[in-house]
Amino acid sequence: MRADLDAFRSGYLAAFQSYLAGGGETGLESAYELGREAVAGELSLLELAGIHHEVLADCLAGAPEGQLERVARAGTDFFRESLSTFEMIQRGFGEAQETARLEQRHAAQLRGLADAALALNSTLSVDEMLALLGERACAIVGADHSVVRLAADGADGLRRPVREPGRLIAPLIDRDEQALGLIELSGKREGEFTEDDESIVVQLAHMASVAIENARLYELQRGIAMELQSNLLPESLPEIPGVAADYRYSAGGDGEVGGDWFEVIPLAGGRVGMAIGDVVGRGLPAAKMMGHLRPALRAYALDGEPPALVAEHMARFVRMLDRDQMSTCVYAVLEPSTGELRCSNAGHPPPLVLTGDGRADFLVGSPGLPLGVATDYEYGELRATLEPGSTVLLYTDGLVEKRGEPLDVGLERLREVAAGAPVEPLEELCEQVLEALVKEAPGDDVALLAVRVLPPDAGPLELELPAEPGALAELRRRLGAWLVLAGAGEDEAYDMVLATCEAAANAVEHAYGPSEARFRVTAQAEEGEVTIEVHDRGAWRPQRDPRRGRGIGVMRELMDDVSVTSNDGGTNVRLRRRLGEGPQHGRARAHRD
Amino acid sequence: MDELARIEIDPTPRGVVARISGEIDISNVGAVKRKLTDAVTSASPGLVVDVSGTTYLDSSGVYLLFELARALEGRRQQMCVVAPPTTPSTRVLLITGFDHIVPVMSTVEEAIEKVGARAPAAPA
Repeated sequence: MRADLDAFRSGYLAAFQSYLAGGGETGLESAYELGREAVAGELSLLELAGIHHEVLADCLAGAPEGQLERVARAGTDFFRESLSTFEMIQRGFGEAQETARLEQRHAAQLRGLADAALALNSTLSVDEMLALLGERACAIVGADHSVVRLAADGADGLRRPVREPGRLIAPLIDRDEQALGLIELSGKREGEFTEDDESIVVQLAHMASVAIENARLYELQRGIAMELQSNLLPESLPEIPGVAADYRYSAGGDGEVGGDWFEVIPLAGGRVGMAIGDVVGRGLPAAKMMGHLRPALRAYALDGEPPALVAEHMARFVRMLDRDQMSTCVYAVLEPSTGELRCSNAGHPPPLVLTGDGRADFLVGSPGLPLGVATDYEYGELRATLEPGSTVLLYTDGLVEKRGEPLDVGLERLREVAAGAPVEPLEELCEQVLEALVKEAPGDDVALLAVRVLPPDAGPLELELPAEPGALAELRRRLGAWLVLAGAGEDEAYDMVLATCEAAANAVEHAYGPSEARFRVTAQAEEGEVTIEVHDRGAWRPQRDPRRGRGIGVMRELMDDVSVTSNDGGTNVRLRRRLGEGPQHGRARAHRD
Repeated sequence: MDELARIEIDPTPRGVVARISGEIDISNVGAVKRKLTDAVTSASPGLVVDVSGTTYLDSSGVYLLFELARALEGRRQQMCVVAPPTTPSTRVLLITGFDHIVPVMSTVEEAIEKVGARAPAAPA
């Protein structure tokens, strides 16, 4: 309750007068009592001082000459005594404030420690951790300098903290109690390093040790996984006549290796096998699994099995390897000459078919189970016909999946981006698709494989080969590849290669003296007709040799038109056949079906 | 024997089965002929040449088969060729009319049967 100021003043005056009357020997305790009353009565220090000055002024006014100094000195003593309660309270307040200040500082240090723990755990680079450790320790204890050294760099095996004037050292100890290194702080901004500083830096050092150890382990594992992955993914795609192919691989944001993989495999008859897959999970186990899957797929694919059977084999293989590991994959076989695409899907996002004029449609059908889920499962097969210039895009879920978003939305985004991207060149298409979609949903690994059916637009072929039997095998490869580019189907190409090699065999066997041991083959495709010429510098007469006669007969059966001209410059065999119609005459056609 | 073609010989009691995989052209036709000729002993009823796995066969290869069949015929041994309709080599066998001279079968079993039966060769 607030005291009455006038009453207090009267009391103060009476007590002071009594003190003066006692000659300053007695009555000082009343001043102390007045101070307590003032505090209890919620008087402020200013009010007490005001009252004191009024009382003192009154007393001085009434004091005889010569007593003024004594009264003034007694007034000071009296007032100081009355203030003692205030002083005591003030001191308590100060102490409380100091305690609060220290506690606040400790709390700030603990907060700093928690922040540092977070920062340490959100990096995986040891170098970054060391930098963070020094920086955060300085900030927490208020020091200017830090040095962090690792045992590997020659730091001694300190095991206990050292606190001495001007510096504080804490050891970095790993889980096996081995000394990893140390942190040394100096340049404390205020006073000396305290026990609190020591305990907090020791804690920080401990956390950092654990983080460093984890990071080293992680880097080791990651190194192995990355190495594995770089060995596992193809360095380049094979060149296959009639198709263009490109790929993109983008590692996920956390730098850990993923289980995405892909393959392009040249198959018999000019066909192309292509696959993309995703092993569920990340890191070393996923990379290892991927290491098993790729060669297995290659082997099944090279066996020439249709996609559905390849998928079945793969499912059984995965099941046999590891029952806990699941993965998805798409395998497709493309016939470049007809654009026929056959495809089986084991739980993977659907392939996207993009036409030359920018239409984009998913190759949907009910996708089969992921690999590793069931042992005996029959996969279906999807078919599509790719026009020349069309592209099939295979990709992994990282391209279309975004957290908190239905998959349909991501698929539609891919469809739109692919449809809107420039068709030519293929690498630009891949680049734009990857960039647009990874920006939209970063984080996961992404593999993208694009295979395009090239229009049958082959420039002329010109070969000059040594006139040796061994050259025929090379002629078959080169001409076969060219014919696929020219748009010939598998059977057509076979027929034309056979006819050409019959002519070339004549050139090799009969047309030569040793000095001119070469022959030339040219081929061109114009308006759906292929013309192949085999030219040598000798002369041969087919009708005289029964075997050669058979060679000519074979050519005539296989081609629409065969003409042989010989002159001084040598012999020229010209073979012609229209594409897409089969030979115009002969038994071969009748027997084909 | 040779990079282009590989030949597996299986001397069954009912006839020698020779499976040729790979390619036959003028560069290796001589070697293939020797290998096949050596495979057939005089005691064997005959030879089955399986070209199901032969990816390329030119007229020199056809001529080799023809000569071989004729030589065996002279020794009263039967030769059959196995070439299912889908095999690339079948085309050239049909084009050359080889199937009119030497029996061409779709399966090894049929061919073995034919060889084992020691039937006389079809007239040329």
